[in-house]
Amino acid sequence: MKLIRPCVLATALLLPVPGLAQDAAKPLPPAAGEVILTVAGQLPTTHPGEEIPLDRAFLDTLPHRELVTSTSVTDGKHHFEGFLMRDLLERLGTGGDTAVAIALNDYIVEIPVRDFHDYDVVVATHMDGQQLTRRDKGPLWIVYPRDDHTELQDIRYDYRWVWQLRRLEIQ
Amino acid sequence: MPGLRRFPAYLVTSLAILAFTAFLAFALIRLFQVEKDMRDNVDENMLWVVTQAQVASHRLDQAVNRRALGDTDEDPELRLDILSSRLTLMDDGPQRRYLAARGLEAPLNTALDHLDALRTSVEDTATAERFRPQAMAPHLDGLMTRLNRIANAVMMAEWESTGARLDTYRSSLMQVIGSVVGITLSGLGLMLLLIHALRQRRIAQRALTAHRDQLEVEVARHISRYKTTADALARALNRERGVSEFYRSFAAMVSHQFRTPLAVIDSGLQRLQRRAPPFTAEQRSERYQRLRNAVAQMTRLVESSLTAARLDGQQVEARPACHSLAAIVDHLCRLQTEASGIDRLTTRHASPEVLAWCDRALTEQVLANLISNGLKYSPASHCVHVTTAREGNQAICRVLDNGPGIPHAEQDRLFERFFRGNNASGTDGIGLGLNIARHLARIQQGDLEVSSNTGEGTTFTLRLPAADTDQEEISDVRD
Repeated sequence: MKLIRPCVLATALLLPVPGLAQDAAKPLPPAAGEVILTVAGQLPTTHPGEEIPLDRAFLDTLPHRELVTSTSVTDGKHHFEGFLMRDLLERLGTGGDTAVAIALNDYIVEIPVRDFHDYDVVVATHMDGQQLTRRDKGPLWIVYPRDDHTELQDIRYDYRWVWQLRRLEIQ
Repeated sequence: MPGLRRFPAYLVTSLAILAFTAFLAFALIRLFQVEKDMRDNVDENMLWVVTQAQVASHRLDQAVNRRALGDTDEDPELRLDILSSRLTLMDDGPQRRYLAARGLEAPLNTALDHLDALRTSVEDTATAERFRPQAMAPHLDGLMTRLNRIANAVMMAEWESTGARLDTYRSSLMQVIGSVVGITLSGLGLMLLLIHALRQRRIAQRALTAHRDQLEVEVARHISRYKTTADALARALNRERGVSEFYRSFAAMVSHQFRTPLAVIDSGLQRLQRRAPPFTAEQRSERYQRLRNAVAQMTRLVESSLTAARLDGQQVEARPACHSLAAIVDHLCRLQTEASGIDRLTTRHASPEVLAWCDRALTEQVLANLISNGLKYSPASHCVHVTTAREGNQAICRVLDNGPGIPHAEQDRLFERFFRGNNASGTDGIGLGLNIARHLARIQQGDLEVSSNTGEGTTFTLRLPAADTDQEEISDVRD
């Protein structure tokens, strides 16, 4: 894993934007491992009416991203690792204005897709070097760069920090 | 005194500014506090956190029981993980501190103990029958009871906190309102002070302007006084110069003009003294007459010289009044006729009679000179005409004779002192009369002109300022 990640990052950096678009047009390989995130809603024509099940192997191919920030429910600053939500959506080639995020406990919240372009919203897989588990806030936690933008230090953004994310519906 | 007066003004202003600043600062601090307090909303989230933990525990209970009844769709593993995550969240820093502050640390710890026991019961069991309802029930019951207690207490704490917060907000807002009133009042005070200061400044400016004007008037007055003094000094100096000029001119005149008549008188007297040849009474009378003429000429000379010298020395002053020019002319003509015994003068006066603003004595002197010149330089058979008229704002008197006339070249020099024309060489005179006459006309704001053609006669025109009838009264008042 540690060996693969820099290679993926390098590939992503070398690839021009049209390359990404071509990737989006290609049908995704079927998920071989355990599905940890399902994306549904406005999908590109290559996946008409389908849901896209995603496993950890696929998510690991997205550009790696790190973020240090505090949260509203923990003490101190934490080091998060994962990928950008907008990278995921671009990779899948989704449209839509709103992403409905659903957690394992059926917590459901609508997030404007604009958030992912205005801010570097990370979908964290690791916190402080540890992989997030279901018993904590894993496997996926939507993390906003709260410390970099004062407007994000607001209860109206706090409820968008969905942890135990399992499903995204793009509308 | 001014120091004492100034001190309270500054004090009041400073106090007003201080009050304004203090009220403003206080209001701002209070508002910032309220704003910050409104952002700290951890407790508002707490009830949701606890409730979700309760829901998770119930879902776990439900899943375990349904699985035991054979429902394979249920996933107790997931439900246990979710419950774990909810309790982990409650165990995290901010949430634990919140609960500890409300004396809920003990039920939280007990709940976490029950969770540990649940996990242990699951992990210790063989894979097939991991989730046994009987083994899990006591821990789930204990956990639910604690969570229920926590939720209950959190709800009340939140309501209490909301009530207290509203009280704080209300009190802060009242304080802010009080401060705003204070700000308004001190602002009003500052405004009044400003208006007062502006008014004071305007008054001071006005006083300054008045003072400056007064100063200017004072300076002007002083300057004009100095100027008057300087003028007076200049006049005095001129008069002094005039006096010395008078003596110099008079001396020159005497030495130049008086010798001839004196010589005539002297030689006449010598002959009479020698008595040889003896004169008849007629001859004697004739010689006496000649001597008398010489004396008379001298007398005239002395008078003319005196007048000329006085004019030079600016010793002659005109004292003008309103006079009838016709009356002056008539009077002079009568005197002339009586003195010579021959009536050669004719007069013609405009109607209504012409009034001049002049000095009577000086005007008489000018006209007498002109009339005697006219008689002297025209043939004995001809008359001399004197007319008076008014032209615009001038009173005019013309003396016309039918004498030989004066060449144009000589007319320009006619009024120069000691100038005598070619035609005058046969008659006695020293060339002072016309010079004096013009001077006298001019010091009365008038003038004397000549116009003449050779062989046709000469006209002298005396111009004087005209007077109106009502000016007579003014002249009386002035005198």
